[in-house]
Amino acid sequence: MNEADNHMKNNYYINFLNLVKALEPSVEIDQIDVTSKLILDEIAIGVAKEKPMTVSEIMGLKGLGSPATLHRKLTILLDAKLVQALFLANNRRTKYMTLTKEGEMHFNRLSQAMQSVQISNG
Amino acid sequence: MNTQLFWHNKAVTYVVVTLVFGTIYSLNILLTAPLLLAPGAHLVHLPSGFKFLLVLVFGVIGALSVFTVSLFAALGFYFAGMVPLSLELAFANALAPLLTTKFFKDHGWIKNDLADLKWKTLLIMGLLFSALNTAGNQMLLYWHEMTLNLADGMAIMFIGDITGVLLVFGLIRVAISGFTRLRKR
Repeated sequence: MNEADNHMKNNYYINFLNLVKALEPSVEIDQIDVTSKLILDEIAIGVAKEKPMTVSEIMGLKGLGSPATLHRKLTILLDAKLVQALFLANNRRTKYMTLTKEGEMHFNRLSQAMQSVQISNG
Repeated sequence: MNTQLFWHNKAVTYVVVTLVFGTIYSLNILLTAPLLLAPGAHLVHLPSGFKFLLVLVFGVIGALSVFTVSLFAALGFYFAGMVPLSLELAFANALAPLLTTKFFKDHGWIKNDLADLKWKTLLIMGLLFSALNTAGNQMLLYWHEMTLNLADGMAIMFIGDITGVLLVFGLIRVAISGFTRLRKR
């Protein structure tokens, strides 16, 4: 084992950060309100079409609520770690909303549930 | 103090962790003395939760700190002058969290750096730790004839350990959530 591996093995700070992450209270998807779920759907559709939505585009979804409400709901999704704001390519001025690994897992679970319902209905 | 020194110098880590755990242990003895229902067994034992978390993060260094504090507590408070028993108890106290983490790491249920550690895994680890800690301590006490009712001692100590572990997890979760809210303001 080289020195770098040994250093990483004994890196107590990394252990501590990972422990704090495990103990961090997280919001369960069932506790998220309907408007936030609708925003999550819009973000997922954008990701599926390979055209992720910008934060301004989400604020412009007037059918779902006022910009202030949408901002609040978007924060709920960010806190629940279902979505993340990212810079894409070299554009450092616009942030795009994409799904996190947990967000993707949520849609995978929904997809599996839909498939099992279709199978059970023949 | 230089935080880099704390995280990377094992001697400094050992001294600081021992002092912190020693303070928690002493405060627990002072504040919860009436809850000592059986020899070595509190109904709520917060240091057990800290003991488990310290060994989880600091590994063998954490276990050495637990050994040191447990030895001083046994010699100076619980079983004054009984050196063999105090040494054996200190060994059992350090071994229980170390064996728990080793068992989970060996089976691949947690990683060496605790990445992707889940809340549920922590709870199961807490249960195993409480069982090992209780069994080790109470069997030693029974063997040295410090307790006459092994089952009672085991039951009280297990309840104390598990409530201690859960309370410490809960307190840390509340602290993290409070800190996150403050940071957002």
